[in-house]
Amino acid sequence: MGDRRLRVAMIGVGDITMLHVPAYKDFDLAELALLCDVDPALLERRRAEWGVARTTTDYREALADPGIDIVEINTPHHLHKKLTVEALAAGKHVACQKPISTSIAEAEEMVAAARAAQGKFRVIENFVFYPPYVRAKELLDAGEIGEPLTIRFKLGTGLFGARAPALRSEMWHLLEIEQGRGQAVFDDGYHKLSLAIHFIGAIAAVKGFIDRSFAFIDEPAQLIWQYKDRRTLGGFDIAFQPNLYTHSKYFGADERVEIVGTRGAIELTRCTGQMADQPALILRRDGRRTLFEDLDADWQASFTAGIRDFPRAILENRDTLLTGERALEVLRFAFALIVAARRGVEVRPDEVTDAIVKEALHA
Amino acid sequence: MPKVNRGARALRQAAAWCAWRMARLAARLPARALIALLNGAERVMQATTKGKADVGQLRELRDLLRDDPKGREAVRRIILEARGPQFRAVLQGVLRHHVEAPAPAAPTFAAVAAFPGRQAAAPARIAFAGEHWEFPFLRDAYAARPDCRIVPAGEPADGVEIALDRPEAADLARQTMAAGAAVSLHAGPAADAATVAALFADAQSRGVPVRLFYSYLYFAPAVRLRELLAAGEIGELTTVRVRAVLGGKGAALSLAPPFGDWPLRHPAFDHFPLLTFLGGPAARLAAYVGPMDGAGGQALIGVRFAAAGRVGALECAYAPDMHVRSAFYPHDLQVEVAGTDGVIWLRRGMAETTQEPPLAVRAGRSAYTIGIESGMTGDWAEVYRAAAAEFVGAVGGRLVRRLGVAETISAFRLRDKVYDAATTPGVVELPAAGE
Repeated sequence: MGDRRLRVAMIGVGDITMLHVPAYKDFDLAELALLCDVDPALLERRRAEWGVARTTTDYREALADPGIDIVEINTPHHLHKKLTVEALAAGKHVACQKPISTSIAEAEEMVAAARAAQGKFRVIENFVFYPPYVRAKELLDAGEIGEPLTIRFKLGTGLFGARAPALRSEMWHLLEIEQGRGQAVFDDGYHKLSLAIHFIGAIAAVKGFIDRSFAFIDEPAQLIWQYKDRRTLGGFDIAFQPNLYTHSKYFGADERVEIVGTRGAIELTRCTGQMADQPALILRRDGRRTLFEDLDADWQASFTAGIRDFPRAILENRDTLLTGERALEVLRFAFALIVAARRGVEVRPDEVTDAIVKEALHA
Repeated sequence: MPKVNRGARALRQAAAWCAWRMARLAARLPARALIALLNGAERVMQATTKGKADVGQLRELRDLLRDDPKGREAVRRIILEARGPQFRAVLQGVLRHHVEAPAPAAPTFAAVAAFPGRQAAAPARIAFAGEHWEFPFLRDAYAARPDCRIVPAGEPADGVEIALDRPEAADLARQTMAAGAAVSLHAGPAADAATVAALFADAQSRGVPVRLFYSYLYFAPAVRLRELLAAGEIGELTTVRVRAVLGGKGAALSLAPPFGDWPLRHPAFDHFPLLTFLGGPAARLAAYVGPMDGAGGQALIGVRFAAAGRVGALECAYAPDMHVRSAFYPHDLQVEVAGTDGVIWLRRGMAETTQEPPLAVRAGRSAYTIGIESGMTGDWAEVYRAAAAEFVGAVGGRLVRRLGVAETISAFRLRDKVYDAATTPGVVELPAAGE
């Protein structure tokens, strides 16, 4: 690679990549060199918008190009495994959009491929890079609230105040949902489940309820879990709030996190959307509230930091924050919640298999 | 505070209902007819807004119907199989945000009901049994009333406040009712659902008033919260979260920590009646209860309510090193309820962990708080004054049930089953309220 910037090929240039692209702007470690998508019209639009000269409708062109160092995979989930395995085999570093795959077997195959490959592999999940969450993790690790007792995640989904996702790009999500992988728990929920592990640790067992709205939306939901190595308990409640006006430049999601410890509590009041004028991070301790108003609370900041972390990890030859193993752990967690809710039983993520998931979904 | 325009709301609801019925009919039309319908809708929108209408989604939907058979089926499924009330709530929201738009909606404000004193000539005679943690405050509240007199043990009483954390509590309640006196049994130490159900049945057969005392049912912001839910301020209720923390410092008074076999009966954590008050009876529950000791402890109880599309949780944490400012005990309680149209937060209860208004409401586009500026102080001492006044009213034949008999029994059933749920690798079913 020499002294040049790492060159990135982006496979799939749908909605979410609009948030990836700013990270490459004025970035001295990597540049966007090639765009790939099966939709020529979209490709042409992106080329014009982003000023990337090279485009292709054949992903193999990106994999065959020795000038490409990193492949970013932003396709529908069911294509992740094939593209990741092929890209790793071609000697590329691979950054794949979350969730890692649609099955545990596929994820395991991807992790195995990454272990055998020279290139690094990471699954993109921006929430762990959101500046207020990063600061919260520092406070937690520094023992500011003592030993964590409970951690709670909340997601409220609204249709107003934010930009609506394009219907076309939602269509493949509907097919996902039809196969039991709902958007609230499996897809968007991935962010919260990733954070749940990132903040506290590995999950021991889960229970919960997932209801349905509009016949196919996996909301509302109330999910609870135990951690393996800590006494902490976790919960995730998802409220179906179609009429809620959630201000956001991005998507209409009201997200909240609260961590209660033996000495104090951390409250995170926003992420994708913003429900009120209040600081994103609040620390309660010793009878006082400390408001962190110096943090970049724009959701875009999490994408910029997250995307840029991968080239840095490659150049510093260190592990990324979001390894394939971690992505597999989050995937098992998500499937465990779905199985637990479907069957009304406690489920241990370590014991979840594709067969168990399939059986639960068809029960 | 702005008033809700009830007429406009009714109009929106009616329009939403009509739109919902039309959408269901339209979903059954052949694709060509549906596309023609959408074309017509676009023309109408453009004509009525002088070409300024945002018709992007409409066009996208039309393209989808035209080009993508799978998409078409998905759209049909959404419309035909969706839960009716929620779909209407969305349509109502569409009307609210995009058609009507102007004035921010806000609820009507009703003062918490005030109860007149006993009508009888003689003051109500109230006796106390037990030494429950809230007795001193209730005693003060009764003592301050001109229409009642606190009597010593042994003197005839018209009503008895009973809080014994022993099986004798139920026996004493029965004896009291047999003597024709009203009973206020404290929910915390009261035995279990079966005992409570038997007491209610006994009270009904004797025609004697009996109530279960639970403090948050008399806390004005909690009562106001339920009024807002009942008025549909945040649409259909979907989630209820009650978060209770017992701290170890910062309060004027202290209680024994929640150790022992039944930590969730500790007054800091026993908020099953509040969960039921807000969400209705629970149908299923799942729970984890951690150990409680000097290092702290926690419990998480998830429920699916009997009402369709509604779930909730009670989160309990014992944080021995946490400072919780309170003129009473270090019990910090917060509630978050979410509905299809918004969210309401109850930000404090007994403790004063914040000096912000006790209620914050986010409904549609509007946001407001209810606190001192609206005459709601959130004064915890008022809980006991209201409870005392209400019991004196019950003695005088004016029994008010803030939580119905079936709901009260349901709350006890929920509490009774938490440990089963925590030790069972699954979910525990609860009998329907009233069974």
